[in-house]
Amino acid sequence: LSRYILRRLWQSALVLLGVSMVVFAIVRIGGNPAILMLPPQATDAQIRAFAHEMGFDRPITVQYAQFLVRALRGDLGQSLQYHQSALGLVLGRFPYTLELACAAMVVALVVGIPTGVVAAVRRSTVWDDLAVIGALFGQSLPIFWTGIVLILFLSVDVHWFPSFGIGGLSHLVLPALALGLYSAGRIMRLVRSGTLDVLGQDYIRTARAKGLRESRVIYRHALRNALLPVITLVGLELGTNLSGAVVTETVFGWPGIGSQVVQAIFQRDYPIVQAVQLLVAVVFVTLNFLIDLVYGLADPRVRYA
Amino acid sequence: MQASEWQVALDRREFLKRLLWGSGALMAAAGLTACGAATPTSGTATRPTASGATGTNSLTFAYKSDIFGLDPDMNTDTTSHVVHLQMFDTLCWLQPDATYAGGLAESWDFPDNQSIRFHLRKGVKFHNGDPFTAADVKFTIDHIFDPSLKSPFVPLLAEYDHGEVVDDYTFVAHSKEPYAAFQAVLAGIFILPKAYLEKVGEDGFTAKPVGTGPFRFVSWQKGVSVQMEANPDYWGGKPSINRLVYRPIAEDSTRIAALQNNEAQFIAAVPVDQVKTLQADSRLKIESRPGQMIYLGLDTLRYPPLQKQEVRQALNYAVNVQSIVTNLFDNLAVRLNGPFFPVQPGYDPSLPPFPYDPERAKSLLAAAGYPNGFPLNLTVSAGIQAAQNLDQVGQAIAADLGKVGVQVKIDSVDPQEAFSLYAAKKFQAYIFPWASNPTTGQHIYTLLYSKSRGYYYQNPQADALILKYMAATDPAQRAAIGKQLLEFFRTDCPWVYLYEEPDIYGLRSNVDWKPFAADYLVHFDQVKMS
Repeated sequence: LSRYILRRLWQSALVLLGVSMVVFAIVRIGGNPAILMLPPQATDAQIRAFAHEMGFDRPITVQYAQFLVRALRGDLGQSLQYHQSALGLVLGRFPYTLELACAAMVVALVVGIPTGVVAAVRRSTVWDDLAVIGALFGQSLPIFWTGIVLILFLSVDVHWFPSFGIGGLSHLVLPALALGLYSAGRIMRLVRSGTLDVLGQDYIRTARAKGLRESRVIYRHALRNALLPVITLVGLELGTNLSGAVVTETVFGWPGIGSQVVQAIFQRDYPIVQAVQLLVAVVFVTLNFLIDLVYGLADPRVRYA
Repeated sequence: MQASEWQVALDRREFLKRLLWGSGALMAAAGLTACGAATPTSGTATRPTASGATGTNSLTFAYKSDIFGLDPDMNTDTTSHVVHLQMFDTLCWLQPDATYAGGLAESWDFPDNQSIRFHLRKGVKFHNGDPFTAADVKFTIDHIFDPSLKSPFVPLLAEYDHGEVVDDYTFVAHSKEPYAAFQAVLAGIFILPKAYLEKVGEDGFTAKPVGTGPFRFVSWQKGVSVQMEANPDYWGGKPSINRLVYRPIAEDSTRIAALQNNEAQFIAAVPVDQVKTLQADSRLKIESRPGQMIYLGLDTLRYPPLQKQEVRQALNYAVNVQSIVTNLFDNLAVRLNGPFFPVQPGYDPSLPPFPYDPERAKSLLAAAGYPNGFPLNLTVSAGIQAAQNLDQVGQAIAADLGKVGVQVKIDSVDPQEAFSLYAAKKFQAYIFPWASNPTTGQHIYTLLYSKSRGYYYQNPQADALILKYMAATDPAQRAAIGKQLLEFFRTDCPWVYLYEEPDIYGLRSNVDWKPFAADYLVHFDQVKMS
């Protein structure tokens, strides 16, 4: 197992190195990054001075080596707008993204798993149809639309929840619903198909033959096996949400890294954009690594492959 | 062997059970951690309540973007200045008639055409109790020029030469040469406390800023809110709002929902297409004022048809600006009769905007040798500097020009690319905004003086007039030169003159505030709540 972990660690490091190259290259693709970073009023002399100060006039390999060394030390430069450490600013906003991503995942699981099971158990009934149509809507409706509809109905019309920002649990409900219902559709479909597969297996027939209650057959025998692929999906969905739910955070004025990166792009604050990109890469690589580990533990065939 | 396989199976089952329980617990813990981790990044140690300030005389103001910092010398963007304005004072304030009223300076005079002598207000105290004196004014300007600070204010103070403290309440500012906008530039500087800043340093100051303004700093949680409270000792009288909260809400619909829900009582940047919705709600009202200028720039230097004055005049007659103002801006935009802002010295309200006259445009084009028109690339950058409806404006202009034979091809580019292409002189025609300092005429110098940008227009006659205009310190003389300049540009037409777009605010009906044209900011000590 340790060789397997080492191999996965090495692969993760390679991925991060690749991402660092992309992040480094992205502000240099369009020519002199100093022009992108400075306000449009900047004179040629100011652009030259800034480029020199930032080291943009050195050979590209030297620049990349310096970028990498600094990044390893956690120094991704100063935000051009806030005049503070870009990484520090991004990490300061990350807890909000974590809070929203986890809450949305709770919504997705609480909605997705039971509806998936019900749809499978009552296959080809009106409940199944309702669940499948619901999942279709959950996945098809864009979050900016769902979000604004939730705000208009549950906030502006009936005043149950605040329309934006952070605060108590009540502030979390609408953004978590908007984001979670999207994932819920995918989880529901996976649980439904997984449960349907499993329900036809011999050991389920055996369990029923033993005279077990149907609920016990479903929840202890069928669902546990059907949930295995869901673990992977949950990991990936969590990764996506942790990358900053850009639209949800913007619609609900949620102060996570998603809304932060949108503002940074508009303000041409490239160090912040780079810091968010790198953080997202680290989050994804870590989650994928953990999923692979879980797979290795859950299914021995993966380890020896 | 069998036992070991059984053992593995059991481990796996146990592992999965724990994983499921563990992930649930992890999520709950992460949620709690995230709640707990959300402490303010600066200011007081307690976390401010993030709900809207809905108590009596508490007001929440929501705008598009977060502020970037609390040192007004380090952040010159309008968003940050909206907050700075509440906590700091300037020497003098712009008035609705584009003159200045006393701020921290009670009065001023002009010993010569390169100096302004400010007589400062006595008895003013900073929020920490330190008295305000002329030393603070000199310190603030020196602070801007501190090379280690790299203040973005430095280019704006390019004409400043030096300042002298005559006594505790007299400060004289000297310019390098006669400069008409000198007072306007100095009026943009927020005065900082010398003793406090020297004591706590830059980081200490930005963590807990201290000014002389009507509101005192309470806390700033980045991306969430800036909290301020009324300064009971304010020299201009205690504001009627006790607690002022600034909240960034990027999404227009959400900002409007927050106003409808009374989570915010005052919002800015209301899109034109939402005005009717807000007006239909009796609990809300709209206030609007002229905002940034939108103009259609022309490459008069490189593109042969546009080198001809008659062609440029023809384009001004060919575009139906009134239709744009009526149909795309609900008559809230203001038509312009030239490149001048209506609040700018020399603006002549008696001169009408170019009438929509396609026949005259066609005859001018024919006289210039283009009876069948010519092709024209028009660059439009939707959302540049938050300008509204530019896509539709571009299409309307293209359709109008098509009617006189000018075949317009619209190039849509994103704002960043637009600025790069603009500076690289790649445009034939382009729709651009200009926002800052409408009262100074600075944009005339920056955009149309050949030795400033000179990217798309250069004219020695215009240059001579612009220099005289920028140097005229006597208001009457400046107005006279300005009028000449305006008439010159109405003939030479370096641009097609369009409109000032509306700057629209949404307020709860119990909030009382009247905006005026020359200013882009909101002074919350002048806002009343009933």
